[in-house]
Amino acid sequence: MNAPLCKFEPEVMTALRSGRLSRGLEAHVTGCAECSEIMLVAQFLARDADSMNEISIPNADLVWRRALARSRAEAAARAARPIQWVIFASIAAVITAAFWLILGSPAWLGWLAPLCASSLHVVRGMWVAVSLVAGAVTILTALFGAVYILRVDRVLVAFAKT
Amino acid sequence: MPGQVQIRGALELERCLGEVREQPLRMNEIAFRAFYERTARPLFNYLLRVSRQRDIAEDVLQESYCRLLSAKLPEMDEAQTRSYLFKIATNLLRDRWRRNQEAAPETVDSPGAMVNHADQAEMRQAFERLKLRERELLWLAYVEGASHNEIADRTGLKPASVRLLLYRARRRLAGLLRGESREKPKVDR
Repeated sequence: MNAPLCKFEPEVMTALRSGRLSRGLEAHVTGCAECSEIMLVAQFLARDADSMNEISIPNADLVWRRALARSRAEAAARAARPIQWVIFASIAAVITAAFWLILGSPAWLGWLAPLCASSLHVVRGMWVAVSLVAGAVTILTALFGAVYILRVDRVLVAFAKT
Repeated sequence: MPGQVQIRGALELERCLGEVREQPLRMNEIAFRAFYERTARPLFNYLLRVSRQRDIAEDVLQESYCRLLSAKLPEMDEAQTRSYLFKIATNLLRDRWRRNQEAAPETVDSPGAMVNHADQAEMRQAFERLKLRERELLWLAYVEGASHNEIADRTGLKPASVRLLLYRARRRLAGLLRGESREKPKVDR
């Protein structure tokens, strides 16, 4: 469907914006369905827009402060990003080290063997189990402690240099 | 003790955030105020008439200026900046509308919108019966005086589509203003 356009439409629009409609154009608008429709719609909308001028709008200060606050928050987030990455890398390193100590290299538990050599199998088994559990608990406690301390102090570290 | 540490941390955070240098904004405060004075009223009127809800209009207005201020764009003159501002506002409004698609349309409750004579109020109701896109196009064309290309830039439509959609919207509104249709208000989209 093509929109039929009157060749005078641009002139009518210009005249409406300037508020001056020449006699010739006025005569044309009266006889042209397209242009009279434009006049009807444009005049209604112009009146409507005028009627809205009493409505209060948000203060410029409010908008400026909001923009500033957002800008600061974005800058803070940007500054804290490298610290976040260091924290994640530290946690990953601690977890990897814990797995390596417990599973990858059990030779360090060798010193337990002489202690357990003369004991019964049951007692020796308990010793090893208790040692492993104690080691794992110690490492996990250290891990959670480190995370807690980093969580509290990371902001101080992040901004100490700004 | 941990509580004290947390309080100390929070206070330090507050102090540090105040000291963080914000990202440079697009214009300084004086230039912004002048620009706001010139553009806020027409933008607000556009948003209010298109959204039909004052709280949305105010929120989108503020958000549009915030985004404009923090946008990393090449140098633009006032007309281009104004056009870009309307583009941001139009996109924000559309996003908002999509999120609240199921919400029923509301009438404007602002005091200034209450005109004295009943005719104008009735005619405004006719405008509010139009679809969101139709209201956008008509307002931009006949109140803002934007060309088809400018409207296309602000709404993301093709200029040829703008011409056709604007024609249809104008026909529809003219029909409603003449009282040709007394259909019930439709929910947008």
